[in-house]
Amino acid sequence: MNPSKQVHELIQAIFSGEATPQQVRALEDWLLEDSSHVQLLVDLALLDGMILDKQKNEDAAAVLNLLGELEEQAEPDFTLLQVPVTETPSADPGEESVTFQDLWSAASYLTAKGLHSRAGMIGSIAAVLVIAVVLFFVFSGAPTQTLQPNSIVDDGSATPRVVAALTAERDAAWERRPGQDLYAGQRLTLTAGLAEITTANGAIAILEAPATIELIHHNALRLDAGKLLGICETDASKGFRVRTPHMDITDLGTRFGVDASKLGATQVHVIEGMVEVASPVIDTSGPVRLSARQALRVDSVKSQQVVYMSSPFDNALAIAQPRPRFEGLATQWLGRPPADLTLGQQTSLALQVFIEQRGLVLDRDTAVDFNAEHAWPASGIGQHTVAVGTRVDVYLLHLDTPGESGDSFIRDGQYTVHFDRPILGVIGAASSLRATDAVLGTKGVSYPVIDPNAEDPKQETASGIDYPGGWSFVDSAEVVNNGTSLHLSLTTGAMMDQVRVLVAADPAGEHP
Amino acid sequence: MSDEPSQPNADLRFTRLWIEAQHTLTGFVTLHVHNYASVDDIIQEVATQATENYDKYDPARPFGAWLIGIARMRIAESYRKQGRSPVVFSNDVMESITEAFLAAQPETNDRLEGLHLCMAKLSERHRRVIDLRYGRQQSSGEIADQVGGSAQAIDAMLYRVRLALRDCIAKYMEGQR
Repeated sequence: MNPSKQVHELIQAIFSGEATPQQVRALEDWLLEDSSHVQLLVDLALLDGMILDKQKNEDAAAVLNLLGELEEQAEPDFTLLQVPVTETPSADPGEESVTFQDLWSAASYLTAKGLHSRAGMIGSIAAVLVIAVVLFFVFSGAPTQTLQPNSIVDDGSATPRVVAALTAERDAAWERRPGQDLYAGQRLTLTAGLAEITTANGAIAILEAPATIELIHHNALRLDAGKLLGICETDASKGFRVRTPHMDITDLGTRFGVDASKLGATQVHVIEGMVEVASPVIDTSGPVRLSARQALRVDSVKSQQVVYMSSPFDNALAIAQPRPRFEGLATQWLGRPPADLTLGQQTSLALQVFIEQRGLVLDRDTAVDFNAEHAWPASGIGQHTVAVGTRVDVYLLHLDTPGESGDSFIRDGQYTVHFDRPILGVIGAASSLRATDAVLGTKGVSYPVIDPNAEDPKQETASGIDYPGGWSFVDSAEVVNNGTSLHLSLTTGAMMDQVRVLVAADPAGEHP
Repeated sequence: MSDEPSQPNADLRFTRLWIEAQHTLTGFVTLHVHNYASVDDIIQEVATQATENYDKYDPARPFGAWLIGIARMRIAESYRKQGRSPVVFSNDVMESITEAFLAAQPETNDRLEGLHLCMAKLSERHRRVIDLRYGRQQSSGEIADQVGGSAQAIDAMLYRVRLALRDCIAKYMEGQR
């Protein structure tokens, strides 16, 4: 379908409210020609409505989360007001009748706290009012009860919509395959293999099938069934929470395993560090703390300490790998690269970091474009060397432009990636990248190919970072932080940006 | 124990149905009503009427279709109050449009996710124009005064951006299937 200019003018007239009866009839003739024509009109109308809602605010999403929390905590003879107040960090306990004002206050409170939870639906102020109206009718005939806004929400920090990323898999199969970006409220069922999820706060959850989880927000998820290994080694990830059918586990900086694979009970085994466990059946005045090599089993009536075992989590431990560190969601660690890294194949807008090879021993002097002593682009192309016999880990940093190119899709970004070992050299020119794909890249991955007819005769910018004299904008990169971090300033538009980083490998590591 | 669902459960079900159909409804109203403040008013009127008459809703019928039926009456009423004639498609076309809206409803989550990603790809200038039109509900003339150009150029830009977003979202959704 490729509508004519006249059809586009008719559609514009409809949406502006200025269409004459003759224009309406003309558009109807076109709509009736093919169902795809109707689809275009409907798509544009849906888009208008969604942009309208998006531009207002996202309180309805937070209220929807509130509804979800209320619903899941309900007893079988559920009423909305039977809400157990479990987390009230600063609330003043006490009862007050729930009124329309309370609901509006809850929504306003959530707005003020800047909560943005992605429950799959983004609403508007009108939607919040609608929901408040509806809930008011629900509450108005019910007995009074306490509803404390901050008793439901886990914390008051801003919660981005994309709350995690799928960062590694081994022989994984899914009930419905997720994308790389994962959202609050998203439910995932792993039917085979292992999968690693990294939250926005850097907490790592490695699932072993069969397992079902639901992402709550950037530092919490619900494990409904299966096994999970939690790794929280960054400050930001402390407080990572795993909710299970029988207990809530809060990580205080550690590795721990959770086994909810057996019907009727959940076990937690602390491998390193410490966790807090809360459960209705634990008879204490507050959460219980477990330290390394302690384990607890909880069912619906009791809790008991059990023999600590890490072996149920060996498979998950095996795929936990050292990885680079970075802040925020603009950069994602994704483990092994996907099969296709050609232009437009990745749907994520983030700078993606892949490990191409570990512990590779260079069989020749390998040219690089810049290093800790020489920054890009002043360093020139291929002017520096990493010596033969050097043992390296090879990473690829990849920033793609999904979909169409053009002025509408140019974006600027600053990224800093931290490695645990020194950066020996960085390859950024397209010709250098493509010349090293076969030796330094991952076998089986489709890398971009240099186009001999490319406008830029040097072809240095086709898939690498920009070089002066090529396209209209120039990227920059330098190794910082005593040679262990790479800082990139990238302007990405029609073409992708890639950088290959050679990092000194751990001498004790093995070539995969 | 009674098999009848308790009233609070029914109310919660209504709320869930409403939230699931909300974007379909907003899209339908936006197609017919071009003043965004009026879109809000009509949505709220539909919500109130649907809430009050939920006991008359036939669960065998798609909830979104029921809401669209209420919306058509509210839209017609809105035009009557303004002394204007609404855009009236023929019954055949209206039926096709309604079916297409309802068919799109299960994909709402993917569309919203795609919109989030695709909006982030817009240039600063395009994002600003989108915000002025949809967020602050300014006319094309008012927007042109702020960002430059003519009202006609702003209209054309907004339409091109929406087409680009639509294509971007469609590609994202294709990748999700």
